[in-house]
Amino acid sequence: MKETLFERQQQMMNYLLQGKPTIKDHIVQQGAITVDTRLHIYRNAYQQRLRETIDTDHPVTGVYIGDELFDQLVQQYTISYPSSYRSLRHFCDELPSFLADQEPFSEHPQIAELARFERLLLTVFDASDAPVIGLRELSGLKAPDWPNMKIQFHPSVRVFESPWNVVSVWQAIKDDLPPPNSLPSSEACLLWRNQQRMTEFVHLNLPELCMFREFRQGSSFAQVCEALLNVVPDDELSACAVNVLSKWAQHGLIGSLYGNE
Amino acid sequence: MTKKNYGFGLGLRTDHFVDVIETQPNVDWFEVVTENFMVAGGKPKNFLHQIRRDYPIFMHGVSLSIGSVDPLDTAYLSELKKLADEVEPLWISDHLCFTGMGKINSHDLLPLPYSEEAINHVADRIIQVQDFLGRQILLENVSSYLTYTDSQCSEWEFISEIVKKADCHILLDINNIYVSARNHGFDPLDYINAIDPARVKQFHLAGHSDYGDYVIDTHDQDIADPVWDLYEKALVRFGATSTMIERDDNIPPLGDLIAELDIARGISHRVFGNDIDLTQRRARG
Repeated sequence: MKETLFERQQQMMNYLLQGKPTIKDHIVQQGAITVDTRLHIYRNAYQQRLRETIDTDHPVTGVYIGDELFDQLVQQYTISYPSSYRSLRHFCDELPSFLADQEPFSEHPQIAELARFERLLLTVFDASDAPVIGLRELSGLKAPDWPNMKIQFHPSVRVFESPWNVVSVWQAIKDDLPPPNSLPSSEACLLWRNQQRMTEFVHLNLPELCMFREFRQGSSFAQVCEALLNVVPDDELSACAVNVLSKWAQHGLIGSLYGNE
Repeated sequence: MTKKNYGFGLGLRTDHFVDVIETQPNVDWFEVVTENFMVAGGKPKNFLHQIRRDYPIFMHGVSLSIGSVDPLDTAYLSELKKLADEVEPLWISDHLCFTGMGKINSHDLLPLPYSEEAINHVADRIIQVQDFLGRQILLENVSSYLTYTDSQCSEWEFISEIVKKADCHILLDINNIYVSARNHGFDPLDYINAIDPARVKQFHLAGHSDYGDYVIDTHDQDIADPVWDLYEKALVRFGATSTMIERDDNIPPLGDLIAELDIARGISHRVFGNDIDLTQRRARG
């Protein structure tokens, strides 16, 4: 019974996505507007909407690659990855992997990395809300509870590690400055949404990255300190650990402490 | 006939979040695009909760795809219900259209053939949605640019039959009637006069782009004079009805939209005088 409806919807989608013309035979010719024009209104809107979404979600990547490559990106990505999401918010979720795999973009791996950083900013932007603990709660932890103390980070907290200096490139373009040359580097950034719900990020030094990785995988403070010994001299360990934890608490990165239940 | 009239609302847009919170504008309610708030958390959702404390909210979806031949998306419906439990909207609405099939989303409001098959298909799905949500929904007429050869009736007969069969209500977009009338060459009054007033719970007003031969529903312009004229006729036919302006692009300052909303208020005043019963006028502190 639903065969006609099914067929018509399939034909309409095939037209929108691939320009297949079979739907034309099922559209009424009315007045001065041709069937082609009527259909084109829909296809144009479809393509325009997806283009705007890529542009809105990845403005810096767009500027970085320039208009010509951006046109190519839009054309190839919208064909390769038609949206299977109900919200356009996720339409570009596969864009970084597309850019990493697809020529000519794959010839410049920093493009995919830049897009990956922009996606992560969006993830942080609408991650779950949750309470955080501040410096006072952290410093209120009793001495015997420190060794077993573990950290649950705020749901928005993410780390971005890249073999390219794309965060510096992103920042320069955002500030309307000429971007630095793309260079292989080992950048690591911590991203989070602050208490005013603004997205922030800072570069991580090696001790910070070490501590974040350890806490993230569920290590206790004692285990974190042990790992930290690989990158920090003995006599600086305590000061370094306390300093990093204080910074995280001040920035509102720590959701809760556990491990001493 | 009594009808709940919630007064004059605006589509809540990101550009206006702060203004709304800080200035508490003279708007009776706000309508939000449902999918924009189907996120775990973050700033927009926090703004919504803040604004919800001061204004009633209508939830307006774009992804229900009630006409699609794909199975109903139960995950989407669950999220919709969850958000509705949080926001407690006065109405939940979506569009009489399909947005995709085969799990691919066009992110557009695509027209259906006005056929018996489509009527039965859509009505059956609305019943399922309403059962799931435990409440009636509003369906909005979309603007359209083509007619399928399968269509056996007019758009107004199509929507009337569906809402009767499914026992749901109508969000009548006055601009969409005008746009479709121009694109298909029918008289918009034929549309308005054929719709059962008891089914119409809300009006949308919006701007369009006129290309001479055809008109596109762009929502990026002020409301055009012929749409205002049609709005007045709709008020006469349907009685005082919750009305809002839906601006989606080229967003002007909040004050400009409120000035436009005042035009709607003026027309309503012209039609009804002061004799309007606002069911739930917002309490002002």
